[in-house]
Parts: sequence; structure tokens; C-alpha cells
Amino acid sequence: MSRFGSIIGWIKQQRMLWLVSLIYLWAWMAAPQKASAALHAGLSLFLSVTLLIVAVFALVGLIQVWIGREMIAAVLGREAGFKGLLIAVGCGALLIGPAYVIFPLLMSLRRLGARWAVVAIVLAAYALKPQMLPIEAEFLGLPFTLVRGGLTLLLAIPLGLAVEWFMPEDEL
Amino acid sequence: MGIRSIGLIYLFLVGLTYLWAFRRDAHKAQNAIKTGAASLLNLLPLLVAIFALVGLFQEFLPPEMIESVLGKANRAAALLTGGLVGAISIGPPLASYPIAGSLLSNGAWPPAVAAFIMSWISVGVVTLPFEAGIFSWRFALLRNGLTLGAALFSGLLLGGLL
Repeated sequence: MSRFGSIIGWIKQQRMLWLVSLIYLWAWMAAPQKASAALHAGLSLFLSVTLLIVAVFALVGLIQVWIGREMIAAVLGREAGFKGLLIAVGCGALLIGPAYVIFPLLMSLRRLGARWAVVAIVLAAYALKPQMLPIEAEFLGLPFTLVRGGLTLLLAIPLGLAVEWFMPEDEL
Repeated sequence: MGIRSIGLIYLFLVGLTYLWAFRRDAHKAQNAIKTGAASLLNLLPLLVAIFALVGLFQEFLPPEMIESVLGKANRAAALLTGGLVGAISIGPPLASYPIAGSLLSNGAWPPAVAAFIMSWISVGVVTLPFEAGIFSWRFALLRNGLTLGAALFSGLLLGGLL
């Protein structure tokens, strides 16, 4: 990212923080107790994923420094063909943890030459949530759970390709 | 498995990878830590903002409200409402199953419930600014929009298959 681009990015981030602070100010004036409960809920959620965030960013650093462009492009880029898309489905299905924690990791792969379809497919297949399937079956029944899981995996590749189709090609 | 233990497992695995990395090339491994820390610091304000927003949604949009909104809808509207409510809801999927389960047992249309769960898990309106901050608005809007469409579509398919 260029220096100018990173400054713009930084301003954008601050803008979001600013906006949320304004919403809180409003919420606090409307319902102070609810607003402080909300702040508390957000904070405890943040603390609960701190370890995960640290681990993911440590991995982001490792990938950026260690893995070469050629390798990522060969496995997850356009030249990998359909196999790359299948790898993406597998990775997405096996990932656990909140999706938003995975975003920076996927973007670091994208910068190294992974195609947009791979990013979108990982995020689509990620909805399988294998570790939650027994609980889902408990509440919704086994047929519902199996069909939902199957559809999630089946639709991941078409969905990823559709997202990629609308993305500009040379934008990295 | 709680989110904290998942975090510990990730940290342990990444720690092992770093152990290997340091033995291979200590200088490169240090660079990796610096690179990772720089990305994290860069995104920290956005992360804080998003988590504050998530807390706000949890407090002002409790599960009981979701149930009352979805429970009253008629069939055609229920499908769309299911997808949309799932999209703006935030929280672990674990929280969506009991809601969906009680919707089903109260006679809700299964495709609407399926659309609700699918978009709950993979469409995130609240985390949209964060996704856009990392990937770009174009990608974030495309992915979430198309995923919402896929959630409605697979909800209908699921209704036909069951």
C-alpha cells in the first residue's frame, strides 16, 4: 500500500470509530443503562477473541514474510484452476472462529496472488461450521442439518465465482 | 468449545509454527512478527469500533425481538424477513439454533428458517465496515449481497428437499 493510501485508510478507520462513538452518545442519552450494557457486551466479546486475533495476525505476518508469491499464486491463484477452488472449500469448511477474524488472513493471501473467488469461497464454505453440526441437529433435526450443510458446500464455488466475476481483475 | 479455547488452540499452533520459523531463520521470523504487529495496530481502531457496534446490536436487538418479528410473518414475506433478520443479527451461530428451533416448532416455514440460519452465519451487516476496510466496499457489498441471495435460494431448495 502506498503512503498516501495508508493515510487515507487510517482516516477511514478513525471515521468508523467516530461514528460508533456518536451512536453511543445518542444511545447513552436515550437509555444510559442499555448503552453501558452494550459497551460491556462489546468489550467482553472483544476480550474473548483477543487470543484469536493475536494468533491470526501473527500468522498474517508469517505468511507475508515467508510464503512467496509464486507459491500462493500456484496453489490459490488462477493458474491453480479448479483444484484451487476445491482447496478453498476445504479450508473454509475446516476453519473455526468468527469470520471477521479471518478477513485479514484472507486479504494477506489475496495480496500474494490468491484469486478473489478463493477469498469468497473460503468465506462461503466457512458457514458449514462442522464443530456445531451436532448442536444444530439437536435443535433442528438431522435432515435439516445435513441438507443445509450440503447446500452450503455445493453453493460455495458458484457463489465465489459470482463474486469474482463482478470484481475488477487487476486491482490488488 | 468456547471461543477462548479456540483462541488458545490457534495461538498454540501459530506458536509452534513460529518455533519452526525461528529455527529456520530468526531474522525472517522477527520480521514476520513486526509485519503482523503492524497490520494489527493498523486495524485496531476499526476492530474496537466494530466490537462496540456489535455490543450495541446485542443489547438493542435481543433474540426475543427476532423471534417476534419472524414469527408473525407470512410465508413469502417470512423467507425475505428470515434472510434479512439473519443478516443484521450478530452473535455466535450457537445463539441462532435455539431461536430457529423454536421458530420451527411454532410452525414457521422451514425455508424461511434455513434462510435465517444461513444468513446469520455468513452475512454480516454490522461487520460490513470492517470487511470493507480490509477487502474494499465493492467486495464486501458483493459478497454479502450475493450470499444473502444464496441463503434465500438454498432456503427454498431445502424446503423442497425435506
